[in-house]
Amino acid sequence: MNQTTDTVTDTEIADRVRSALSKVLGEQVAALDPEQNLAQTFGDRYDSLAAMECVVQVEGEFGIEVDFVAHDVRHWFSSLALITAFVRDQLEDQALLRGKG
Amino acid sequence: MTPRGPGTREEAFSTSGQSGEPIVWFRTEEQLRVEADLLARTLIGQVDRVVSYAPTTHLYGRLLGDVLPTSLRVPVQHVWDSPTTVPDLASGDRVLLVCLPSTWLMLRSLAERAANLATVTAVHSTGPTTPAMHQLLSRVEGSGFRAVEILGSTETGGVAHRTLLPRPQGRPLWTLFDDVDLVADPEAGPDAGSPADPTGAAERPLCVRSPRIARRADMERPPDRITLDDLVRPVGERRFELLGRATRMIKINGRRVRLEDVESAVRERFPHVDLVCVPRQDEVRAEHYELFYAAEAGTVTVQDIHALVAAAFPGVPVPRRVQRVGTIPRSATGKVRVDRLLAAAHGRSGSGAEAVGHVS
Repeated sequence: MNQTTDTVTDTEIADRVRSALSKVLGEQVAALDPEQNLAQTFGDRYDSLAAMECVVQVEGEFGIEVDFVAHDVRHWFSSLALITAFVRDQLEDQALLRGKG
Repeated sequence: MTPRGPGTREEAFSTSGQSGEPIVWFRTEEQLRVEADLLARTLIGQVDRVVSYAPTTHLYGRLLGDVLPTSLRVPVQHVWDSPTTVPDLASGDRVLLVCLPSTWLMLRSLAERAANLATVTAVHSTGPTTPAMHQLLSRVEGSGFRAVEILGSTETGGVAHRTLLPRPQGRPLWTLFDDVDLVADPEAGPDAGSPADPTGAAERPLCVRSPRIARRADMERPPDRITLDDLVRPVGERRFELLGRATRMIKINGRRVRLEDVESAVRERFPHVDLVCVPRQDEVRAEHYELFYAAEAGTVTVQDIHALVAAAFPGVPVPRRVQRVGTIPRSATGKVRVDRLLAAAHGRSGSGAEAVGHVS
């Protein structure tokens, strides 16, 4: 299923998440299974600081701001699939707020 | 802790030397205690508890995460191994946050709750400030949240401090700690930057004298003065403007990386490779570096470079990015044209992007 968020499809979100993460983790991200655990795949290269660097890249890519208080970043940034789901939720919230505004 | 003579106990802290090997600096218990008291008196005041994101194996974390709380008899929460842990600031306590550059990205999330925040003093050190820090300070302006920055080193301890402002005008000045003096660098010429310098405003290396200078392992006693890698311009007797680094050294998570050493190590192993390390701002680690190299396809891979740097400099971060390019662009005088290199590497049009070859 390819859900849409406003005008952004899940596939597009997933592709852009890969692109954003490749800036931190390199081109290996392109061939990664979405469900694959990033810490297990990259070992020391995906430590807490690298995860935060991925947060920065994803924020920049999608114009969102990750709330470390409201969200368990270690959980949501543990695989491409979870990051994609997280971004989709954030974009949906943004769209909802825009609609209310 | 190492005993050194009657009544003198010393603690060891390491820095990385010219070729990556550790250099050990010893600091007496008395120096640690004096510095913790100085920090409390000058910057922090009274607090009810401490949350520290700085590892206690480094001087900064040891002082603010161990020695100072012990002196003030307040509890500490050590979270240096968990930089995304959000501190509890809603209890009304006076809290000291011991921050690294990476801490501010997480702290930014507390801004929306600023009205309920406790009185917070956040201390920043070990690297330049980050965009997330400025965002947070803008959002909590007028609340009980204040931030200060310490400039120092393992060798000297704290040298100077300044208050961090949400919207600083120009380069905010640094104020020397009470027991630190700016002195002439003995290697910079007889009168360069000395107090007798008639202009008093010449750019000079940051050379300091203080009773808190550590003793290098091969020395009998601490040196009289130490010159750091920073360039400053004095303003009056006790303040200065920090202009930048005098060398190509950067700090990543408090670890020093000399970019010329990384380049030499790669050249030594791969003599046919042309390369350059470029310092880069980093939103999480404040500073980082990228390595660009020119080599025939298939001769040296990105993985080769990563493995070489990791093996040559254990514990030192590998480049944030390693990329093979067609050529390293240089000026007529042979200097690397970093602007053209980065433009090409990031694929911007009209910049020779076709010269960049990604390694698969």
